[in-house]
Amino acid sequence: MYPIRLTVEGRPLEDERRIDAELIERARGGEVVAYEELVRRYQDVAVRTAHLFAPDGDAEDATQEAFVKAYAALARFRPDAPFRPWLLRIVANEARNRRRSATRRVGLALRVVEDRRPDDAAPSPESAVLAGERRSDLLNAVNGLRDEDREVIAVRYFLDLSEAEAAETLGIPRGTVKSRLSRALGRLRERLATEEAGR
Amino acid sequence: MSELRRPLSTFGDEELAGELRAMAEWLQAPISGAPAGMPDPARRARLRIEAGELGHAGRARPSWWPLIGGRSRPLRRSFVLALIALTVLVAIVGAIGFGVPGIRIIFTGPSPSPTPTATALTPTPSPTLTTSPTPPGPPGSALDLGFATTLAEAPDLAGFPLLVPTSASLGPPDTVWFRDGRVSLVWAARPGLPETEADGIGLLVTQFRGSVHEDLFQKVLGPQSTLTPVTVNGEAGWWISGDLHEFMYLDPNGEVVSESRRIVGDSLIWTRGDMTLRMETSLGRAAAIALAETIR
Repeated sequence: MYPIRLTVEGRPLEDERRIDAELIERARGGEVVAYEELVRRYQDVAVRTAHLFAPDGDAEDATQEAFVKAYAALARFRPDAPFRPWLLRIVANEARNRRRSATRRVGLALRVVEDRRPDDAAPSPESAVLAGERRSDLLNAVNGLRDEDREVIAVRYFLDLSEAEAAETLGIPRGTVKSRLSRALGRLRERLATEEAGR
Repeated sequence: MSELRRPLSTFGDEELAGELRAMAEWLQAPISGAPAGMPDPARRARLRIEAGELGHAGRARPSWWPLIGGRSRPLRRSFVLALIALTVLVAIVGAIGFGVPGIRIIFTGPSPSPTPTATALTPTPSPTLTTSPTPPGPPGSALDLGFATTLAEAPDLAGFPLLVPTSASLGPPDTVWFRDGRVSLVWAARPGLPETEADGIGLLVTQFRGSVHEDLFQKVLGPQSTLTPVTVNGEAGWWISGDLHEFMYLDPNGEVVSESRRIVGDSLIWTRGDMTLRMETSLGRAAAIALAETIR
């Protein structure tokens, strides 16, 4: 089980890039153990990515499959490029392929309210109810969006990827991330308005 | 408290972004299908690699290998035959000095003894094509092409400028669809545009960005398919006819992508710059090429 966290750890700082580069070189040299260490560094965000792209699938299984495919593709990885978005793109593709074969669509879900983080300050009961309703409304609207809109929202806001990383992960130009995100937020607002009007 | 009562639909982009970011920590975690104590994905991947499922990372097997050696076990059976057929094909292509960078063609079939000899037998339609004689909705809605969009919006979604036939007699497409980097233009069947293998569809043009590296895409063909090298505006292409086939290709990341779960009939495939296009039509080869050459 890999809990969803607010922030993504392991930003590609220089040190981390160097560690990645060393592990990639060793993996290319045939050290599968080095490859295991390399992908484990991004395993949490990979599983979350798989889940966000295909909530109805087995995120760990999709991640494992993507890791195997990424190993086969490692020879084509450009050493000067950041590894994390390259890997996440393969994970996202694997999850997408699985999503397409699913017969029924399952959306993202919220944790139960009691499952709050222990360091959360206890809100007043009324505030907690209102905040819970708001999250529920927002997620319903997100789940109602088409795949492309949901994906760009997921990578930018749920995974907190940078615009460049989001572009690499989604396999689209950076400018398209920006415009697609803007349109997705517009459509999200329309859905929210419809929900609010129906109340 | 008053802020909590303000409708979310009145929020600006930055405010909505803030709400979405804050919601991330409340999302339910992925549900693992693995029993407790099972190795994590990184370990399981390593075990599979060490078990010889893949080659050396530095000398990786072709990236379409997972298609054959992974979950698609029925294909594994005919893989040796496919290799033989591929060798024959490469020899033929080499002999006539023709080739499209990155194309890989694999023959496969249900019979344990298929031959790649092309004949004009009656194809056996897939059940997926016969279940819905009159699909409801706009043209193409039964083909699992993604979601409906427009000619104006599609380039922004796809991240590349759209290539559209400019034939005056054809006119603009009836519907436009987008999924995962692929744009599909659909024309309904009508006089002069005979129905394809897909019910009610007269013409389907699909385009996606492809890189120039080897293994760009592939088609999995039945043993009764014919494969003819052609040129479209001077660029290399293939005309595939005869048996129905499933369409698969490799995206620029080297990932195998099944364009859809459906089976397609006669089609023209060609490249234009860094784009790959595919046209499904019952017009025949010459008319298909003529139409393809009007694409701008």
